Amino acid sequence: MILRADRLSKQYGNGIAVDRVSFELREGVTGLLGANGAGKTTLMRMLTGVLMPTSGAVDADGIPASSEAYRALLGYLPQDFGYYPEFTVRDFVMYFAALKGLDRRTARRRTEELLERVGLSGAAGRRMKTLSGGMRQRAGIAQALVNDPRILILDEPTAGLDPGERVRFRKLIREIGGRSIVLFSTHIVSDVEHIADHVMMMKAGRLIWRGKWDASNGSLEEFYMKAFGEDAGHETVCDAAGL
Amino acid sequence: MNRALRAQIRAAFSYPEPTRKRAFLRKLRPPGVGMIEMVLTQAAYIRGRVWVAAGAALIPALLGAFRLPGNAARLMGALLPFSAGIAVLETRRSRDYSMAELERATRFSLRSVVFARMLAIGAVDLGVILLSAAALSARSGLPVPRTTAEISAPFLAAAWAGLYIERTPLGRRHGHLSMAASALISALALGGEDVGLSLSALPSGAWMAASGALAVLTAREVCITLSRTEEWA
Amino acid sequence: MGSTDLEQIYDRIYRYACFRLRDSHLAEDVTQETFLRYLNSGKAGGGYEIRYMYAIARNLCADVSRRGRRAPLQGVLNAAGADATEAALDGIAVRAALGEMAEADRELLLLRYVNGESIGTLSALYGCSRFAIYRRLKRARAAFRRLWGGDEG
Repeated sequence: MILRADRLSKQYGNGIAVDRVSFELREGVTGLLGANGAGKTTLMRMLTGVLMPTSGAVDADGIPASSEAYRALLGYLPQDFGYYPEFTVRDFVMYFAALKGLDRRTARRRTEELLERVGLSGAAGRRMKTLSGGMRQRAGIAQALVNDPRILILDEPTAGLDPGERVRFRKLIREIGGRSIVLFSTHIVSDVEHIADHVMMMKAGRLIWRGKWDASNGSLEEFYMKAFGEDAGHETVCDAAGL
Repeated sequence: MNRALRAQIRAAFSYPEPTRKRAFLRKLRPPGVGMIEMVLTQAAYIRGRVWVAAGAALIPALLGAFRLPGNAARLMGALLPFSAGIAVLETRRSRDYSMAELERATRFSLRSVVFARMLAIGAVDLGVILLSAAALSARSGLPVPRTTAEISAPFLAAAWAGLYIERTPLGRRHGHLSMAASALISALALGGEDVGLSLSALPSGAWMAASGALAVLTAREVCITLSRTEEWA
Repeated sequence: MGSTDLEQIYDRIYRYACFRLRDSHLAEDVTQETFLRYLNSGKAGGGYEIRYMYAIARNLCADVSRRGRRAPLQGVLNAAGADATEAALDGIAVRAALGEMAEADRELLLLRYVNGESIGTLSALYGCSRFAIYRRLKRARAAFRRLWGGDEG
């Protein structure tokens, strides 16, 4: 499967949040790096069909992002999300299983499997409002995976996770990346170094770099600091990457 | 047939493993899910108090039909606006609890979720109104259409007002303004006679016209609400 | 529908097609075509209804057979390719008995005891009453018992 973004742009009034971003993603894990305000969340919302682009298009093997068929392939974890106050952890995941079209029996089985995978089986009966931030994030990851998505979009998924939870999360995402397209945004460089096959970097709404990152490129952290330090402009980024 | 023998038969019927299964199944688009199933799914997640409010309105109808036939329609008219108000609040739950973005990104989309909720609650409220009208008419001798119009008018007025308020900036910020509208309409329905509003003396035609107009206005508000749900996320 | 449930349905249809066609490659083609036709049929409103899928698969297998594309017997009842020296005597006897049964009875045993289909599904597939299915199963088991000669338990 190919997830294609073609000259995606989003404009709010006089400000441009995302500026003519184009890329193609295949199965594997791609990390999207960028500072706060770079446009990562806006880009991800357009990739999930939650936000209409001002111009440009998103599709997966020709299926447009605005269609039900596209959303059926999708798993999404936004940066911030809520829950209905009466929901238990199990209710939360089951609710989204229903919205994703799973029948009750499958929804129940997948919910239990995923709660086990994210380490929440013991808390399945607890109300969402009693959970810590990290546990809530794990519940969010579980609902994103409940329909075995072919495209997984995660916006700052490791926020709030403790080191142990982060290790478990990385392992899970690497596994899913073996068979699905995974795009996760973060400003934690080590997450990208540990999990991602490919890296994209955004700054001021534009994609300033994308490709495979390995040891021959040097330290990703250094490159990132250079790219996103206050004085770094676009030219500096290209020089550092040797592009 | 014992287990060992079944196992032997299974072994006898075994065939080479399919080689293209995984790749095929991953490409397969999921089958469609009908609206009825969607409505039933959403109905399961509507809070109990919504159903209690809808069902509670039946009680005065049944009691009133046998104990207070003259006042039963007024009592119904006073209670049903609250059913409408609670139903309107259900439509904003996704927004109030920051679930809209997640719901928006699912197969069924936020619009379908809200529509399904409205349909589920609307169907129950309609059932309550029709049952109540039948019970009250049987007792009072008034025609069923007239009684239906008389008790549904306050409900529709509250639903229309609530949905309209919800889409104003003030209504979006303050979730309970729509309930305030329901309370006002309820007070009018209950106390109108005491302040000179002889609503019960209105002819059947006037009631039918009023409830018909309110139904159209409410349907319009429902359409506008649905068309704007995608902006919530 | 989760992947495991879909995989199970795929396996059941595939086994059925293998039984009918004696060719695993053709069987897989028929299985996939069955899924696609089912999804396009408009019946797939609430999930996957196995009885409709069997009906589609049966027709597809009949088409394939009519076109004369049946390969020589292979892999059926795991007899020819199996290492007979290692197979339990019971297993050989079972296979021999099944091999001598009427095709229709064999098919019924496959669907009921291997694929685990319910009486309701079989009744819908064969277009007869549940009582008729019970009778046919009883007859198939009796035929098997006669040919096998063992204790069914």
